Amino acid sequence: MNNYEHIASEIIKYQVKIIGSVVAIGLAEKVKGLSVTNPKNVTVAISGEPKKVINELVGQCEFLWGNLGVLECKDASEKLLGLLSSNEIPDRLK
Amino acid sequence: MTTVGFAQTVKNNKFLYRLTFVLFIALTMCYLYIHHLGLDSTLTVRQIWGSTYQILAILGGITGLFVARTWGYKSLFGKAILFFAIGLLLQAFGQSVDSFYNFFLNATIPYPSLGDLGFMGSVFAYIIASIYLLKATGIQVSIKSIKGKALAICIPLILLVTCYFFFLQGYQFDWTNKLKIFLDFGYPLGQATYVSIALLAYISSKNYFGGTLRLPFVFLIIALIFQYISDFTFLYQANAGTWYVGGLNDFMYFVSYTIMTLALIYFGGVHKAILDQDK
Repeated sequence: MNNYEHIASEIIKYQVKIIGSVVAIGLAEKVKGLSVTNPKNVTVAISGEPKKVINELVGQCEFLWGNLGVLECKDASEKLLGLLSSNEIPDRLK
Repeated sequence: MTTVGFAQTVKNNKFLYRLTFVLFIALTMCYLYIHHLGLDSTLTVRQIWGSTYQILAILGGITGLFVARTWGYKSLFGKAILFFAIGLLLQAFGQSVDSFYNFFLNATIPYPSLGDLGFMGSVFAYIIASIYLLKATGIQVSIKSIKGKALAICIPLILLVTCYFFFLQGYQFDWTNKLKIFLDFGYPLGQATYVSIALLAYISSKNYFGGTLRLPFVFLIIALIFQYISDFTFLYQANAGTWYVGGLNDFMYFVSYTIMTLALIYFGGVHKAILDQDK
């Protein structure tokens, strides 16, 4: 998995812990260009523009939790964001 | 994407909402009629009413077990809902034991009794449920601020001190009955603990928490607060010697079971509604 796929995976894992795999993976799979290839380990594949996919995934968390969802996504991806340059970081995680 | 509204979730559990509503109206009408007749001549019917309304707790408890399964027993939401359901079933167990004493043994309910296993057990179940709810609502995110840390200390402290002054100040220890001492302290402190954790979950997240899950979460917090008010009133009336079967406090418990049941049904409906949302 590349860095963006790792970020998406961490965000989904964070949600799985809170709301369970059915809702967390179900909502993640509604994001265009994102597929969960292994639901057990939450490995994902991104096809298309990765920043846009991550932004949409954060949007799904926002749909569930409001601003708390955005904060949770930032918290989940905090360590991985350090691996990206500032212009590579998706807008919703800045 | 817009949030899922309450109306969208109702269609998923129409039968359960209707059943809860019908039971609530029927038992409320019975309560009002009994009290219209007065207290002196209605002891037996008040006892019957007092042992009947737990049906709402049983309904909510069984519903909660199924709803917890849909969210997944391993998830924080699933665990929280599971323990709320267990709490309701333990309340029903406690009430059943009390009713047994009333009807079949024709005796005053002893204290402590087997029923306290249910009532005290429900306090523990609500504490565990509130802790899972607190974790689920991002306490690790909101606690980072100084205000968040201050709230985490102040809310439980204020409630515990208040309950100490109301119920435990000047307490006379009888060390020959250690279980009674445990329950005398356990009830007020345990109840103050679950409600303070629930309030902390609400207050620490209220500036951030929105979206689809906010309303069912608020509903659950309201249910817990109402349960706490009922528990507080029971202890207050029992200490003052003004509690009687089928009275206002029993009606408060009945309402709090109803709210908790509705909150658990709501969580079940919102789970399905979220997955039914279009891209």
